[in-house]
This record gives sequence, C-alpha cells and structure tokens, in this order.
Amino acid sequence: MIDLIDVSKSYGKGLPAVNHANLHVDKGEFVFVVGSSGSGKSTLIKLLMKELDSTSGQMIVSGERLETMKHRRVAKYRRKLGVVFQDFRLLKDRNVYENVAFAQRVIGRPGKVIRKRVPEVLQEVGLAGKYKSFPDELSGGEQQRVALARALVNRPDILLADEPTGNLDPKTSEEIMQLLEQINERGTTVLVVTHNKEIVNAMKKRVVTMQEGVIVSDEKEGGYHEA
Amino acid sequence: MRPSTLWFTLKQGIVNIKRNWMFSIASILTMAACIFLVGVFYSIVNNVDNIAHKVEQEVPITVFFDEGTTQEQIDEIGKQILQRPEVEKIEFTSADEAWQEFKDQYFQGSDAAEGFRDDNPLVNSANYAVYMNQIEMQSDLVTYIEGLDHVREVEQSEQAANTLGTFNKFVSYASIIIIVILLVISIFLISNTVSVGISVRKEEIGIMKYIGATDAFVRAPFVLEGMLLGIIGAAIPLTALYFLYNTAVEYVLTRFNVLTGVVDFIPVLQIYRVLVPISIALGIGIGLIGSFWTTRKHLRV
Repeated sequence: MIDLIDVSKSYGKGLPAVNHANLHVDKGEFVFVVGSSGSGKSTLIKLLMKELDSTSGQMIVSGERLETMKHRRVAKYRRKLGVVFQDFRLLKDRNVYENVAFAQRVIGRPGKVIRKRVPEVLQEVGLAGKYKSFPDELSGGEQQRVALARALVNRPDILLADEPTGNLDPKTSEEIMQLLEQINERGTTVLVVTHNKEIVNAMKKRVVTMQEGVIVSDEKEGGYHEA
Repeated sequence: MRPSTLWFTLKQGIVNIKRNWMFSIASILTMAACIFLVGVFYSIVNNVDNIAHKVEQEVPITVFFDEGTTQEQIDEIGKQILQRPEVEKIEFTSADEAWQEFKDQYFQGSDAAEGFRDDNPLVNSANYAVYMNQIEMQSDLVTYIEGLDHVREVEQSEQAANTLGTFNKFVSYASIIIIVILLVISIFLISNTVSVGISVRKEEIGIMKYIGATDAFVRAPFVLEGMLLGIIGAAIPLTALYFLYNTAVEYVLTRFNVLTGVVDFIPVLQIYRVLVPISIALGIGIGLIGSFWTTRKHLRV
C-alpha cells in the first residue's frame, strides 16, 4: 500500500527533514510513526499527502508514483487518502452533518449518495445524535470524531493521522485510538504520527521510529523508545 | 458538472459576495461606471454616425455640364449615371428652373431681379442632383461622373458628413481611453475582492484540497463570484441607460425643437440590440479575467 524507497526531503542547505527513508506498509496494516519534534514525522505525512515533493527517492502509494505525479492528478490521488490533524480543521460555520457532507460534495458525489453515506459514517464514529451541532458546541474528542468521519466518508484506502490525540486528554485519546483500531479492522490501512508514549506502548502495533529524518527502527509489535 | 455540485458552487459564490459585501459593491460600481460609459459613448457614436449618414444621403451630389451641352447629351449623361447601382435617383434642374429658384429664394418677389429678365445669369447652372443609396461609394461615383463627356463640375456634400465624422472619431478615441482605464480598474477591483474572499476562506480551501477537490472545483465559486459581480455590474447601467436615453432624446428634441424632423435619433431598443450583449459580455469578461487570474495566483496548494 505504501512503498518508500530511499526517499529524502531537504528544505534548504541544512540536514534533510527526511533522510534516505525506506518504508513498506501492507494493505490493512496499522503503523505508528513516532519520534521527537523535528524528527521528520510531519514531513513524512506531507510527502505522503503530496503536499510536498520529495527531493530524491521513489514513493508508491496506493498504486500511484508520487515523485512523477502531475499537479492535476494530485486531487484524484488525495481521494484515496483520509487525513486527520491534531487541530481537527473543521469548518466552524457548518454543523457536523455539513462538515462531513462537505468531503463528499467537493468530490462531486450526488446528493442522494451524500444523504445515505453521511449518517452511516456518523454512526460509525458514534456521533449519530450530534449531526446538527456546530464544532464549538462539541468537546475535543467529539470534534476529532467529526474529523475522522470526514476522513472516512469517501472510503479511503489509507487513513493518515497527524498527532490525532495531541489536543486531547488521556481518556479521550484512548477512545480515539480505539476508533482508529476499529477503522483498521474494517480494512483501512492506518498510519498514525504521534508522540503519545502511553498509547503506542499500550496498543502493541507496528512502530516506526524517526530521528533527525532517519528511520532508526521499525518494530512489528513495538513500543515508544526515547531517542 | 452535477446539479448538486453546480448548486453548491453557486451557493458558495453568493456567500463570497455577501461576506465581502463592501469590496463586492466597490467592484460592481466601478464596473457599472465602466459599462455605463461604454453605453453612453456607444449611443453617441451611433447617433452621430446615423445623423452623418442621413446628411450624406439627403444632400445630393450636383453635376454641372459644359457650356453648350445639348438636352440630348444631358439626357445621355443622366442615363449613364442611373445605370450605377449606388444611385437611388436623379433630379434634373434646368438653367431656367435654377434661376427661378434663386429668384424665389433671394429676391422674394422684389423688382431687383427684373434687370435680368431676358438674360439668365445662371445659364450654365443646369444640373442633376444625384441621390445615393450606398453613401460609402460616393467618391467612386464622383470619379466616374467626372470622367463622363460634357461634365464640367461635380459638387459633393462632404463637409457636413466630414465634420460629424471628425467629431465621432474624437468621441470614439476619448471613450476608448476612458473605458480602457475603467476596465483596468474594474479588473483590479474584482481581483482584490476575490483575493479577500480567498484569504477569508483559506482554511476551507486548504481542507478542500486535502480532501481531494480539484483546482477547478476550488476555483469555480470565485470565478462564479466574479461573473456574478460582472452581470450585476452590467445590469445596473443597462437599466439606467434605458431610461436616461429616452429622457435625453426627449430633452434634446424639446430644447432644440429646430432639430425635430431634421435629426432622427436611433430608438433605444435598436441601440440595445447591440449594447445589451456587449455590456453583458464585458461584465462577464471583466469578472472572469479578474477572478480567474487571482485564483490562479492563490490556489496552488
């Protein structure tokens, strides 16, 4: 599902943010990418989202070659991904239903499909009763659930989560991680960038550790090791 | 594009206009001023052109003959002129008729003309008045008539038409300069309005791009916003001009009633047959250029 072969990304003359990274993720896997601030985790996510272009190396994600991808193809590629962020990035002037439906509207799904699919996905993330609420009326955990619903509504191949629990308390973080696990069990490949040690250690999933742009370890049922 | 997507785009475009209503109004007003001036100048140029054309058509070319030309020869010249397709009709005035007309006009029944009783001073003024149906062929026709045997002189009525033509040229050039300046300002203002809209919706645009919206989808509401501003900017001056035109014509004809029957103003609906499509195209064009150019600059995420 994800293949990075000797991928590097440099911003300027300094050390590369990602340095000769090699990573292979199979379909349906759940992977944590961990590391301290500045280790290159977020750059890796941006490379996977094609928000940034790699400086060298080869990237194949969901069957698409990213380093040679033309700009006009990027939108179609991103439809294969679902993305959630630490700050949720919800539209404050729209309610829960509209925020989720928005993801379907921008890719031109017909109204009939939207009306069927949005309640389904809100049910999946446990927000069926809150579809009329606005983001400001929701807790952090609920907002992240909306963001997850929006990421999932188009049935992506891969779910990328950039510090999804960064703004949440431990209990809510645990709930969100359980939700991510359920999503993964339904077949979606999940890649979570985090530095939440407790969660990583508790979940016993594959852990890729980055340090100064380099992937320094890749353990099948790993834990969070301080660099 | 699906109807739901089209509706979504349209709604977003209207929301953009509402959100930045001050910039939107500034854009609409500038564009309205620009299109209003286009309309005013278009109406003036067309009417002056129409009057010039009428003057050219109603004032004939006058053909005078060599001394001693017989009536048969004059008739022959008449036949040759009438063969030309651009000639509508010819009217013959004999030397005696010319003298009579002159006397009627200048002596008005006084005895002053009695001294010329048996001696027509306008003996060489027999002439044809040639009326044309294709005024643009006037110089060709004059050259042709001048080449005919027994033709002494050809007088043409260029002066009035030329004066109006010069005035029209001046109005055209002045209007082009003013319109171009206003066009540039309109495009700049539309671009500014759209830029503000983009900055207000930056977060939303970012989310759209992450979700997989195409550039065209992201751009569409802004381009639509520009076009809507353009249409409104065209509709206002068109409505205003419709009423102002009739009022202006009425005013001119009342104020200068000597012009009634002499000058024909083009009916407003005839002017609008061309002005409406031009103005709408101009409005949409300005909106399209301003917004497309701005979104191109800002939306590459």
